[in-house]
Amino acid sequence: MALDHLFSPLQVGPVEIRNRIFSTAHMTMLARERKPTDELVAYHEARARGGAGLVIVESASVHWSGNPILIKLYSDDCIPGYARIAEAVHGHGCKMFIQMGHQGRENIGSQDGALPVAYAPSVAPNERFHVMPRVLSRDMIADIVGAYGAAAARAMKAGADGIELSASQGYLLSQFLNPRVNQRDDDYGGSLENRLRLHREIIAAVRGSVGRELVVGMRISGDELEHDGLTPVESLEAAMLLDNDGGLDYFNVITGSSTGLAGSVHIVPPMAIEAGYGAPYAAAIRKKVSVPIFVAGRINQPQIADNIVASGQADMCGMTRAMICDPDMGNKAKAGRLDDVRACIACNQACIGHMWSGFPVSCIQNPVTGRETMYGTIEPAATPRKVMVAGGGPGGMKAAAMAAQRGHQVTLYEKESRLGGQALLAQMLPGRTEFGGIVTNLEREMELAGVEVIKNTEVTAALIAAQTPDAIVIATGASVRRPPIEGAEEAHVVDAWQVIRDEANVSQRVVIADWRCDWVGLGLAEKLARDGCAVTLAVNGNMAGQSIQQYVRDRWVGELHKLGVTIITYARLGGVDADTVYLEHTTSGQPILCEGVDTLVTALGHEPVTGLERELSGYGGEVHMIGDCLSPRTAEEAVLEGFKAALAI
Amino acid sequence: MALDHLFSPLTVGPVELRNRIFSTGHQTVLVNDGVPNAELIAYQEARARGGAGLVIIKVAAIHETAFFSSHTIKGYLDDCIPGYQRLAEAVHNHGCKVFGQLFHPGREVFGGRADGTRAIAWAPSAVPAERYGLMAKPLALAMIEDLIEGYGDTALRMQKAGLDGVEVVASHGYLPAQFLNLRVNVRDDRYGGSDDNRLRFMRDVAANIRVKVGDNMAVGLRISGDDMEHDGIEPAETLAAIEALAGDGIFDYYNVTAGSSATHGGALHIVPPMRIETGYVAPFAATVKAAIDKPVFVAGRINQPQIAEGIVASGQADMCGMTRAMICDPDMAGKAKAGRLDDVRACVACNQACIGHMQIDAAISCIQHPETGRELAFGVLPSASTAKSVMVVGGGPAGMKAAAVAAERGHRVTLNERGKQVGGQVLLAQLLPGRAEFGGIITNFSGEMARAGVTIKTGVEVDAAMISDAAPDAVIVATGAMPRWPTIEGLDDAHVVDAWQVLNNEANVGGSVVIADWLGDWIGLGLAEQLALAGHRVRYATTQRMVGEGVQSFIRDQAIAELTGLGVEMTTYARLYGVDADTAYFMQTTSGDPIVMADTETVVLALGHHSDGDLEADLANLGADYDGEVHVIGDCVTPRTVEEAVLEGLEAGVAI
Repeated sequence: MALDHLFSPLQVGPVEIRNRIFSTAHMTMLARERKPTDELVAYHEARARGGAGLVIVESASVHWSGNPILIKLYSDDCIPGYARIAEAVHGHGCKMFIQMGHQGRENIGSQDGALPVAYAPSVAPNERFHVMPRVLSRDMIADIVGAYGAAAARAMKAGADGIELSASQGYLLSQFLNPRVNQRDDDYGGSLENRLRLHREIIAAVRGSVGRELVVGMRISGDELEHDGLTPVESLEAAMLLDNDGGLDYFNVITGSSTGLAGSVHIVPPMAIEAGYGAPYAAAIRKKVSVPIFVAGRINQPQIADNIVASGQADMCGMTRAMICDPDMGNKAKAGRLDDVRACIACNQACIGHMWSGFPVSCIQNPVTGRETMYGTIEPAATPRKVMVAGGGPGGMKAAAMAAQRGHQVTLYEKESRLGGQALLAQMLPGRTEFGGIVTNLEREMELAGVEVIKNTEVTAALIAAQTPDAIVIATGASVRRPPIEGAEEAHVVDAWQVIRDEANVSQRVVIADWRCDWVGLGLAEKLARDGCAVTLAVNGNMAGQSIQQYVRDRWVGELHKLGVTIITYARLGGVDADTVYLEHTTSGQPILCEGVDTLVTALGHEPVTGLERELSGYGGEVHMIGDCLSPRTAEEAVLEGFKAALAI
Repeated sequence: MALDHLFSPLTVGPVELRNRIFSTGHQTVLVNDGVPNAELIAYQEARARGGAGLVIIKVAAIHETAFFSSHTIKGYLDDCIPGYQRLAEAVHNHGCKVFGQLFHPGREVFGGRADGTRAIAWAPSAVPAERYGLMAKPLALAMIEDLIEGYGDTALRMQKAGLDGVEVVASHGYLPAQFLNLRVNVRDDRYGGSDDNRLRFMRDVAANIRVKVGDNMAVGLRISGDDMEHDGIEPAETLAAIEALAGDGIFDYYNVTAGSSATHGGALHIVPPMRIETGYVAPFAATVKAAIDKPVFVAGRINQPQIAEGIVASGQADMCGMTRAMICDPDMAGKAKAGRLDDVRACVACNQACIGHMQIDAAISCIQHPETGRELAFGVLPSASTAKSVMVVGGGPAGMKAAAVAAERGHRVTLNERGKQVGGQVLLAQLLPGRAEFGGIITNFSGEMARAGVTIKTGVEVDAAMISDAAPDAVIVATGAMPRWPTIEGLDDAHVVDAWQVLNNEANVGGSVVIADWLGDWIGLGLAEQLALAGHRVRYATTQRMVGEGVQSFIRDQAIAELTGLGVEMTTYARLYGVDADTAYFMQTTSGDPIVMADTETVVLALGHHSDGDLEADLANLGADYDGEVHVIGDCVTPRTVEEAVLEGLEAGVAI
């Protein structure tokens, strides 16, 4: 497949970008003390080296009244760090923009645990974070406008090629534009002209600092997809007016809004949302404005991106997670090696998921991401060794691929007829098909590295004795956990894996007992509800989907609500009989009864498969234990440990 | 009241403690890269200076697998020694002793590894803990031996640093407790099975420590009497274990507490919320004390010196853990010793800024005493260079704190409150079921203001004209907030009241009530309980993903259990958008689907607050008619919580 459109250059304002692939501004948690770090430099350099045309560095605060955690673009202290990013990125022919933001009422950043004061056009509260904002005075507005100008001068001094003004997703500029949020009665509220005044003043201030030497663009939401968010008509109308002013070099179109649970799903859209879904929103704006249009939204493969550019829906494609997962995606695509691209599956676990739990960006499929300063260069093995990997789940496959890539002679044994381990089950859940991509990707990595794969073969001590490997990686995974349940012999009890494999004859009224509060419980509930069952999902945690990333969870809980699934929280499975499931409240121990139940489905986690570990207890050779057989967790830890084991051999 | 018992010394192994008050090991987040930082030293020094007999420093990991959160001290590395040394010196300077805690969480790992991946939950057996959803990984014998050495080696490091004692953390379901618990330990080797086998780990640890540190250091054990959970350790089991260990004679003291990290029910006893009665663990301590002849320490909601004195005097325990009492008032012991009991700022066990901050990775503090955790910034209040006249408008927590601090610094302060009483929204909060103690905030601040010499005027509504007439040097605007009534479709046809009206008994609530909640805080939870207790059918609907998302987890988990018991129907992801005569209409916040609550007689709004900004605006309009300083603080800036109000009160009080 030719990707001519994707790899044609694009002129944006004064800057020529070598291709149509860019990384959107996204939080990495790699800044420290509100300044870029070596880790952040290395992270962006990896994407530049891998072929991105442009990276837009994460949103920075332009004023003290914005988020107090983000990079402090209102201080000169940030300049040297940005300069290092610019230099590193430019060294690979890639351009670099800086995003400037003010969160307005979306500000929940705190350095000491006390809530900040969030400033907004009016006292309209934010729903997702439950923030009641304080009204911006006219003096403060003027101060903020000035701060944008000063920040732009710093960006120019640092050597950035451009500036992106964040006006999307319910942040400050969107709040001013939105008549349901902006209820001011001065000349910043009321008419559309007034609601756009701050945009225009900021653009003028920024242009005042950088002239036409730097690109100045604006990120907007084509549709905020939120109950009181900006509509497509409103966004388009504003974009047309600003375009007509001539101050902007591009618009970067996304969807969603930070302000509610529905809109926020689109900040980092999960797997259940269709790939490339953002393109029509961009196309609607591109038809009506004169400047180039950037777009983002689940563009996870170069083919999709090429098609968006070729069809004229947008000029540049934001492929942020695609490059979090595979920083070399651009170069691979350009070289025609499309099958070698490690496609993002939009699981959201280690990218935005890490951000929300305060950890650096990474990727469940690519643990080098966010760890570039540690693992950026993989050293070949000093001496090629014979490596035997037991188990073909994500952990084993990653270990095998990396060890072989380093020059070892690697054989992977899988006891089943197919590689993939639990990913084979995970992909069967509704809306989770793409999770299987992790298997496709790792199989290809193993193939490229020259791993020998032997299926239908369980590794035993005898096999090891016969093969005499130099090193063994035990990656035997986990099995479904079925603890004893009082009364189970009188009841119809099946486990999650049986249901997913269609090996269980689930009857009409079902209770799912969910311990981990992750994909499994939610997925089973959706699957069974779609099959026509009356489903109760009883979770052990504070909320359904507690353990998974919030955008994935929130969208899914919305689906379950549509399907009429009943959710019970704080519920521990106590026992079961022919028609009743006995739960107890995890705080008080009070009984919670579910009566008239036909089938109990248990989703109570996994147990490690430790047979080989035990068989090898007296073995003197090199053994590495990785993934779920060490302790059942998730694909992220399995792949990371596989990667580390391969480096250790 | 004489507190003779509380202020008598106690010998613990080789250490003499000056009194019976100690701070238990607790997370402060004041650690960088595994080393105690300057903030931690200042924090502990403040408690030592304030009169504590002993501070026990937060947990130190005895092994790399014991790394609990990114703020755990790395006791397994020598790097920790200099920090401990500085800490010990600072504390010793004030006549206070200092112990360290030796810790391995076993399967109770929540924070994961420093890079965001899930840690391995090492434990005696593959029995998972419930609260964190992690399957446990059985420890191999060789690793158990490593860990035992780790306890001793870490103790030795603490000894080198000059600490007076060490404490093995076997409480709250952490690793040693997991070995002891026959429901968690199902091993078939010498560390599992019989009582002796399950106790072997603690014994080996004790012996290893004693061999390494000798007799010149106190070595103690912290243990939960009752795990308070379905498969936790029972009191009789704990007592038997303590008796067996006492027979060995290695431990110098036993520090008893309650609860376990493993479940929602057990965990809330780690930092028991307000509705659990004060001093509630003392009866178990008494059974231990009756059985052994070593000192017994106890903790559990001992928030006042009088309660501690009662516990020591009655022989229930020898030492009283008063951790939150000293988070809230570091000078509590000194005040009590001087007989100034009324001056003690009593902890209300709200859990918001102590354990609540820990859970969001923020430094420890206190809603009543924001100086806590900020000792380096606010440890000493500078006297005012010039005494100014200060007018505080509004007697809520923000205004009260600002007034007290400004007056203490030497300013002439008058506080004006438009209501009949000072307290602001706290007056309402204390009316919620189980929250009466919250009113202690008013008592505490009233005392602080009185001692600092603040003039208080109630029933006075201050307007801009009064300010320009009085022309004070500084005005502090702390006018607070009011209930928010957003536009709701159909309002005219329905019976809709707000939370404040219900709390003030100004609303005639119907038999079937729907509470529309937005903040997920005490208000909605408390109203639901109050109305359910009064016999109403209560439905509670919140925009949040979980009920009580806005409050600290132990408070939340306990409150939800109460509501479940009362039959309150709870709906999450629900936004109120309309009402009519008998129905409340909500929208699912992700899908936008309708959620219809028919047969509704009354809708109670708990939709947050909006600031009362009138005075601030009027002051701005005065222009040249008032040229003094103006500080705007608390909910009238923008509505948040007591914590921010008091912090801003402190900042304003210092800035004047």
